[in-house]
Amino acid sequence: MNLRGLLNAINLAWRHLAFHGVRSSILVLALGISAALPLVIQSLIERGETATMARADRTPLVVGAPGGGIDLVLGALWFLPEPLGSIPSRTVGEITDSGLADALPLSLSARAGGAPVVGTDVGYLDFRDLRIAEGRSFAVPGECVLGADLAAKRGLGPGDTILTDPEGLLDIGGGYPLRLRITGVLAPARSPDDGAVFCDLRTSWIIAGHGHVHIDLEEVKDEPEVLMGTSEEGRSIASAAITPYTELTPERLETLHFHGNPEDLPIEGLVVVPRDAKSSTILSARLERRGEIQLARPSVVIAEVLERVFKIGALLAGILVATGVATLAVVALVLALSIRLRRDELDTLSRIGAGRATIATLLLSEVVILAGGAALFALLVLACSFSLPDDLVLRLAN
Amino acid sequence: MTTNHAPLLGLVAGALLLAATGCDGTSGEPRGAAPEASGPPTVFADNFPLQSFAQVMGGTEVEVNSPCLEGESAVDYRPTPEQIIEIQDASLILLNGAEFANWTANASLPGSRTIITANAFRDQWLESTHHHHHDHDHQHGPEGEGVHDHAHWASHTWLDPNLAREQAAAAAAGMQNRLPGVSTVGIRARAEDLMAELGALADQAALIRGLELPPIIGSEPVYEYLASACGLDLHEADWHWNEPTPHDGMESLRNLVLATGARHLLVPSAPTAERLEVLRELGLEPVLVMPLANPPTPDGTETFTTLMGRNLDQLQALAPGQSVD
Repeated sequence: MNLRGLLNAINLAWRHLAFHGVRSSILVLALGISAALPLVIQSLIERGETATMARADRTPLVVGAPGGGIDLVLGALWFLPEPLGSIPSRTVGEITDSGLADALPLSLSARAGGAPVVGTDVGYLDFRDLRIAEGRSFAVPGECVLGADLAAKRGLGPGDTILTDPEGLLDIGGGYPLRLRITGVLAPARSPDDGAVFCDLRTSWIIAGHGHVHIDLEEVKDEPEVLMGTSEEGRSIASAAITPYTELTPERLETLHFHGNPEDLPIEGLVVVPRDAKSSTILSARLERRGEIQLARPSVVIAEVLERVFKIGALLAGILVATGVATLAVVALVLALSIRLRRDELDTLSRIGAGRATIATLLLSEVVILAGGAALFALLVLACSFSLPDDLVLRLAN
Repeated sequence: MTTNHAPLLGLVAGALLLAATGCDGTSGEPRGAAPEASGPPTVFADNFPLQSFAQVMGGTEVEVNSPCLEGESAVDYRPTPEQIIEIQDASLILLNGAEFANWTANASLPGSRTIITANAFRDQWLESTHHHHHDHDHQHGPEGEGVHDHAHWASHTWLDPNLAREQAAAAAAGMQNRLPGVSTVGIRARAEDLMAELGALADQAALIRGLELPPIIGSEPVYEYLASACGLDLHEADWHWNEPTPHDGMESLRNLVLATGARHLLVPSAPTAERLEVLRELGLEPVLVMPLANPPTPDGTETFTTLMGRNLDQLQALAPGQSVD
């Protein structure tokens, strides 16, 4: 068979497939998806491992309340919603005063429309290499910055506000929702930080009801349900009807105060950044001796988690490969049946002069075109999967 | 033969369209470090003593910012959120602590680059008898539930040369550890000179403590640490001596003069002619002792140690038989 005959056979194959477009498309999709899924799963696992380990490796040590190390690390690094125990915020000062490390507090109990509200030190943004893309950072309690994804998803930006979630509908003693002023939006970081709200630690304490500002009683002196009277010393007495402000304005900040020593107020975790390897060793030894706190190394904890994920991923990939083989067998059967159904057509081709080689080339070309289309589709699906976050699995858990 | 290419071509076109539009969910935003500020590293100091220490120790290798350098009062400074953002960008933030500069209590400052210089001697803080912020003291409900009144600390810690030396040491440690690209050898050498000067001031304070100084009245509640360092028999007037209407009234001051027999009034700056006349009618001689939260003049070039030395000279001269050039 010469080249012209080959091209004619391919042309006939293409026209046949095009004539049965729906059937051909279904075959391409079935083959393509069967080939793509194991590749996508494998790719997600590998990228997930790289990204997850990168975030864990960039977080030298995490300190929190005694309990599960995995919960602590996932909470402190991925802001997962599972409640964590708390430790007093004085732990931050104890670590920084040692001169061995910097400590970044994390208050993780609050949410705003389901998104994590991370109360922290403004230095956290530097530590995570988070840049302000629009507006400015938070400067005082009541202000916040949004991660890029959250801002885009909610259509929020500097000058807007975001309301925190109430602690519980039945918890009348809990904190009031606080309206946070958005002062900036972070540049995309392709990390959990993209979906979070960042504010000052004191803001989180106010959300949790550990501190508040008060209405100026002069403003409500004509409201008897709010103002009960005047003390012997001439001080106004407010009733329980007086509510904390739901928004902290610069003027109201003058009256901001906390119930108790701020050093005793809770944080859910803190990121510890030792000065060097020697400082890390000394500090770790000191912290591990303390029973009231837990020290976790995210790189170790996450490596253990990933090991389990790998086992599940390998199992899943095996199942998908088996499914792909079954799909391939079904497709082969469909093609074989198709040839049987086309016997009259092939006989006609033979009678008008097409040789066995031409007919074989025709059938083979159809298979090659279908396989090529499926491969192209599989590659496109794989390419599309790269738009998914690297740490998709952990994000889905958030 | 009529061929229907539409479904197959549609599949290919759809896939290509998906690849072109939907696949690239990334913004393409480069993830880089925050832009590095050009020029020397900056140090922010919230009052004059720390500003002076940073300038002396940093020399020309650092740029020092402070409200004092912009003609603002360090005591009354209330930065806007935008100014706080500028302060956040400093390589090192030196705060006095001991409740000096109330704005720092509600400012979001990076803890790793912030040094509260008075924290090292927290056990030596002195309680202030003067309440500036009564609005913090309140109770919830008539039964007093949730009372959270708390002590206020005297904040002019630097007027005790020993404490000033500790604050300078904290600042020096921070400058050696936290300033990128600055020679630690140079800072250490200049810090040693500064410590020697502050040590001489501490010695002079100890000398004054051994002298028999007469009772003294302080015109403003800022001299607690000076009194402690120099062993002064200091009586607080809280008179707001240079205001048009004295804070506590003339009668209370007159009674204080009678009760203590004091003949000297510590004043933070030279009194007006009218005030000087009032003081002399009371039998009081003003003694200029600068609180030094701010420099005497915004563009002055004298260091804290020079001015503090002048303060101590003024006190030493009050002792019988003492005179200072």
